[in-house]
Amino acid sequence: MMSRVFSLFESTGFAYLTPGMVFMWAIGVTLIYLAIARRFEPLLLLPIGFGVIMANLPLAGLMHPGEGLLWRFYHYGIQWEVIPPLIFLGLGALTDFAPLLANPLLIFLGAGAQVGVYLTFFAAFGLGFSLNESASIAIIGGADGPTTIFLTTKLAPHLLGSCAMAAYSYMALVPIIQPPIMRLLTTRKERLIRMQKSRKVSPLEKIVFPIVATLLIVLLTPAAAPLISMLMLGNLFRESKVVERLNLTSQNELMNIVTIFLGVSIGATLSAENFLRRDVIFIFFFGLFAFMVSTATGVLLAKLMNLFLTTKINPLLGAAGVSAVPMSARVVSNVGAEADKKNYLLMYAMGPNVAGVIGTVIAAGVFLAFLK
Amino acid sequence: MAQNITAPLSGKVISLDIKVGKKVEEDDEALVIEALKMENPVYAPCNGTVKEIKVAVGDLVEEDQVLAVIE
Amino acid sequence: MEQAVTIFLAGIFGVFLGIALIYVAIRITAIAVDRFVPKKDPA
Repeated sequence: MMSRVFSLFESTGFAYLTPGMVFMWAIGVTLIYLAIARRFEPLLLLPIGFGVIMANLPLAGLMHPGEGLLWRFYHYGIQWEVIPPLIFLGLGALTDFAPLLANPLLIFLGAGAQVGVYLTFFAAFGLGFSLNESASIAIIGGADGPTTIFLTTKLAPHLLGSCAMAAYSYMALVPIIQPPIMRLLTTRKERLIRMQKSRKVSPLEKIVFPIVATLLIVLLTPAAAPLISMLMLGNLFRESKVVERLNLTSQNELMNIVTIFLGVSIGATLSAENFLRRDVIFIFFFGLFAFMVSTATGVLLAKLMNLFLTTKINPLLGAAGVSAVPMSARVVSNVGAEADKKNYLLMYAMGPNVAGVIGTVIAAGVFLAFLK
Repeated sequence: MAQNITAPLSGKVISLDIKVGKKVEEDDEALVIEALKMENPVYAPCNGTVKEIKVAVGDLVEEDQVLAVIE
Repeated sequence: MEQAVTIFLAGIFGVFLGIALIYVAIRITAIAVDRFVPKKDPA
């Protein structure tokens, strides 16, 4: 009789529960809490959090290679590189490149922030991570979720969950991480600089841009093709004004659908054995480091440009080169308004902000060219 | 001398804090424009009386569009 | 180590080159549109 009861117990998950799994549930619940109570990137952290719990259920085998449900989402969605480019399609449809086209000089700030990515790469490598791992950790500083996922899947898949989680968590923390660095590196006088009025951008330029940008960037970094071409296709949907249905589907329904699969798949890669490693602490440390350095290099590049420009630019805009769209543009706007409430930097900041997305994709493309 | 309140950026007017005929002081919040889900307060450029308001809550405005006239 | 330095330099160079190419393309397009596309008279 007792042995019957015991074998029944053995067929339940309880018998196979490990402390690591329970710990991961706590991580999952924390993410869900942050998403609901703190509104930290809820569209991503909520499915990621639940995915973490789902992947750490004993005997359920949701991540079992070849048969588990989450494994299939992960394999066909992320390993096959379907989902990140589809997210980029939606981002392209959501992005208005007009601020970038209106102030082309400001797009260099989008490159400036990528210097932080490469400094972090160097630092992580110096601390003993492999080249591939260092690249995946450094790209977190680009503040671009899909790009981080795209690169990490190719270079260091064992770090995927941790890098993606770090990227999305820090993105939510952009309003806390960036302002102190921005204030530290600029004088009040610099923060007061008002920007010259932007020129008007013609609709034709907006249509030409996605096509020309795709050609140039893919010729330069072929490895970035899946991301950049989908981003620009989405943008062409938007700017052509003749395929409104495709435009709206890309930015709403399709984006929402793939976000669900992206979130749970990323969460599912966070099994106890993948996450409970000493490395993960370093990933979070370097991720934060990358965000901070990218903010700093963006601001410093703006100050460097001011040495040569007759019409000065507000160096706060450099912080928007960190491509968390549109969070870092909002941060720039807020910090600018602190100094002068009648200084409206938001639209100017959108230029470097979307240029930062392009910069991060190129940075990922360069990593892939060397390390793949 | 009349002065215009112009839109510093394009967006949607989400609140109006001025009324025709009421006095405003320089730097008083006149209205709020929402762009990129961010509220951007627009301030009165000078002291005076609101002569005309050319927009309503919910209107989409372009950069530099005249929103109100102060005299 | 050598490879890390190479990637570091190539990366920074590549990003700035890419952005510079886009900058040039935007400027050329803007000038071309301005010069060759007839403007509608705001009648």
